Amino acid sequence: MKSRLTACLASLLVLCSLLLGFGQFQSVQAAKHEPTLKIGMEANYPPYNWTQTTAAHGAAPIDGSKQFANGYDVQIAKIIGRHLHRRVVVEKTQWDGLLPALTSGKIDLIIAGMSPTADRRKVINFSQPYRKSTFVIIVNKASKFATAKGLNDFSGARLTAQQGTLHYDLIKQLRGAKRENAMTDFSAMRQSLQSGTIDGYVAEDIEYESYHRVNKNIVAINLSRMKGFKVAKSDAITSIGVKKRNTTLLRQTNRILATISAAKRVALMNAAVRQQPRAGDSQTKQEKHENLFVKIMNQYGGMILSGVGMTLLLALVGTIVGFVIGLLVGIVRTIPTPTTRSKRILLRIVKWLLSVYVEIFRGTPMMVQAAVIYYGIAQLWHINLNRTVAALLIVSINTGAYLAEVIRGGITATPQGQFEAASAIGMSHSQKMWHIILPQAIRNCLPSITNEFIVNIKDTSVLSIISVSELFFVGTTVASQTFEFFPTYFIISVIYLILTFSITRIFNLIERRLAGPKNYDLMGNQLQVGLMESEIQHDDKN
Amino acid sequence: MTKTKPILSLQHLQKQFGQHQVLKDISFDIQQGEIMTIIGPSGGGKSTTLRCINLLEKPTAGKICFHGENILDPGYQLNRYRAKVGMVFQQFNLFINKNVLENCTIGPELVLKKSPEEAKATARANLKLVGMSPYLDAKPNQLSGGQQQRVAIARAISMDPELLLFDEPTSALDPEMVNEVLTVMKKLAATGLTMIIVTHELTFAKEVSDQIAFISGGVVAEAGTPAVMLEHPKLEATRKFLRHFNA
Ligand SMILES: Nc1ncnc2c1ncn2[C@@H]1O[C@H](COP(=O)(O)OP(=O)(O)OP(=O)(O)O)[C@@H](O)[C@H]1O
Ligand SMILES: [Mg+2]
Repeated sequence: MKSRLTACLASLLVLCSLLLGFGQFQSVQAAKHEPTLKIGMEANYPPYNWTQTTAAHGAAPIDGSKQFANGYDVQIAKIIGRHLHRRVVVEKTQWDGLLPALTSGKIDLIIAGMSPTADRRKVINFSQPYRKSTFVIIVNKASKFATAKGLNDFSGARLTAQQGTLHYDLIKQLRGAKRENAMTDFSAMRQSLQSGTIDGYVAEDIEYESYHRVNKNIVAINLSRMKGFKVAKSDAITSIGVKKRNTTLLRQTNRILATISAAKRVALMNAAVRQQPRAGDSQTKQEKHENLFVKIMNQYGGMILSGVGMTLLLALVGTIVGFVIGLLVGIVRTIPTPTTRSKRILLRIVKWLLSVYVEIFRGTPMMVQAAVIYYGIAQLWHINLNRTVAALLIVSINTGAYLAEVIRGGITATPQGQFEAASAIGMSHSQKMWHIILPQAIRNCLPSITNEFIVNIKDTSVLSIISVSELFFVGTTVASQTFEFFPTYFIISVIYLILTFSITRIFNLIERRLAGPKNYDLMGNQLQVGLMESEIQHDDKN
Repeated sequence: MTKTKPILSLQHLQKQFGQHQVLKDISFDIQQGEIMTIIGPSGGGKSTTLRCINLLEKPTAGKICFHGENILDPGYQLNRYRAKVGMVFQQFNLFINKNVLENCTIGPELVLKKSPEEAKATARANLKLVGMSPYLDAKPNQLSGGQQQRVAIARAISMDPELLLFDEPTSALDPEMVNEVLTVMKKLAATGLTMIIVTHELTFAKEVSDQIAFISGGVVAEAGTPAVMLEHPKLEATRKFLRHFNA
């Protein structure tokens, strides 16, 4: 029974790695011997930066994946890299993760269309600008705000901008506008504008240029030229972020930027606008009628499958390791009070520490834990954890905290008589636990463990905060490249459903196996049984 | 019976649960091979006495001497002692995750470090003795109460105990199953095993016991041979208790 379980888990693991392999359809051929220049960007903010599946148009590889990043930022980065004789590698990082990634030394430079605001300057240094921007509000052509001329013309408009950016603060200058919740990326804003949940969003002129290429139904209202519009000079420019202490790199960067002429910059930006991914890319009229789902699967199937592999791997390893952690914690927390004083004190301290662990990890969102652990370890101890390793660690520790309580509950729910019978035989505490109590407790906990596994499959999606390429992260990337939000997320949700559904079935099967056969075979034949019984009756009469 | 050193001797044993003094002064000796029955009213402290003997409860005062050594002394090998003192529970308490055979082999293998083959052979023999040979593969919840109790007895004797404790082994059973268990116990009695039995089965007690103790209010109120205790008890309390059963 046990070996069957092991075999089952082993084959799941193999499946994970096979699926992960699907992502490896292209290999990085850059010279391995050059030192790397690690550039942080979202790779999801065209035309500054975006993700693509090929190395076309001089794209740079994205670390930890088989994908590439390209765009204005990447081209600037490559110029800097060439001068420094360092190979450019893109660290795909969410917007809010860029500053911590830089300060913790996970990346060398932020080249992500970022403005050197006063707040950011407190934390990091910025180079000379590599682009000057104009601010606009993008609205639908048909909207009543399309003709707005001044700051007072936006009364009642539902506006938004990217989370953590200056753009979002600019909305405050538009009297009477309703500031909706900030969004994480431009794909989401475009989608919201299209579906009418917002009236417009604040962005740079370049976002308009790019979006207008794929959606002719929008207009941009120039904010920068409006009377009374105030923006700090540092906010209207885009610079490269460098770690405070790293003054050498800052000097080098400025020197190199100075060599790029204004004309060259415009040319690079125009090329980026042309090359950026857009809806209907490589599509003819007929192809449009082709099933979108089939199209997405054909083009991005490998990427999605590798996302499935990563999600499965995270959930599986996380649940197994978490189970082991939970088991150990659960056992320690149910050790009876020892007789000697010193042991009693030691045990109390250990139990206290463990309950702190459980409380902390059950009491905070996994997303926050991921950010704290991933960036914290790098910042405090200068250990650069691999993303996947960090993700596995986080899921395991988190699951451990939940399962510790579940298993403790299972242990306490085991009838007292089982403990007593084992004690009466002379078993030690650990013998009682391993042979009698835990097998019963675990079997009773199995539904909760299954549940935790399923929760893990879904909740590992929050690990996109540290840019692990699990299913949801891949989905977001695909959606932002194809602009086919509904079909992409629909495919992703169907995959999640298939995963959770099959896991439930598998675990039900395991549960039934653990329960053992419903019937037992009598040893020998019925006649013998009859004899036994009658023998006892017979003795009784004597 | 020759008076040798008792195998077990309780001396002024006391047990207190919080403020509640459940055992006030329990003292008795039991010789090798003797069978002692404990009777008494509900709540009198019979179960607590047995549970103190195999240390499921820790006595608050007094001595428990096994072969003359006080097991409550610090440093005494408790798990070894427990292995030598078996217990049969009112609620059977078979290990529900193990089948019948495993219930009887796990103790010898883990605690007595016997080889699996040896443990199995002993277990088979003992299961045969209690008439449960045909059910080796069955799980406890697939058996009747009487069958479970017989397996529990086989489990206890597979540890080859020097002393076997029974706490009302038949009172959770339907009447038609009581006899099958008592029959097994009589068989055991005949092998010369030392036993302490808490029971309300007076006919059985009279038949097998060497002495009977009446425990009430946390003390051994009266003790003696079955003939004396059941026919001519000195105390009114004992007589009253017995009338209940003879009525
Ligand atoms: N763990 C405990 N905590 C507190 N009080 C207890 C505990 N165990 C037993 N008692 C009390 O001790 C007294 C004696 O209980 P005990 O089980 O020894 O009686 P008994 O003679 O076996 O009775 P019965 O014939 O009903 O089994 C009872 O009043 C009971 O409430
Ligand atoms: Mg009792």
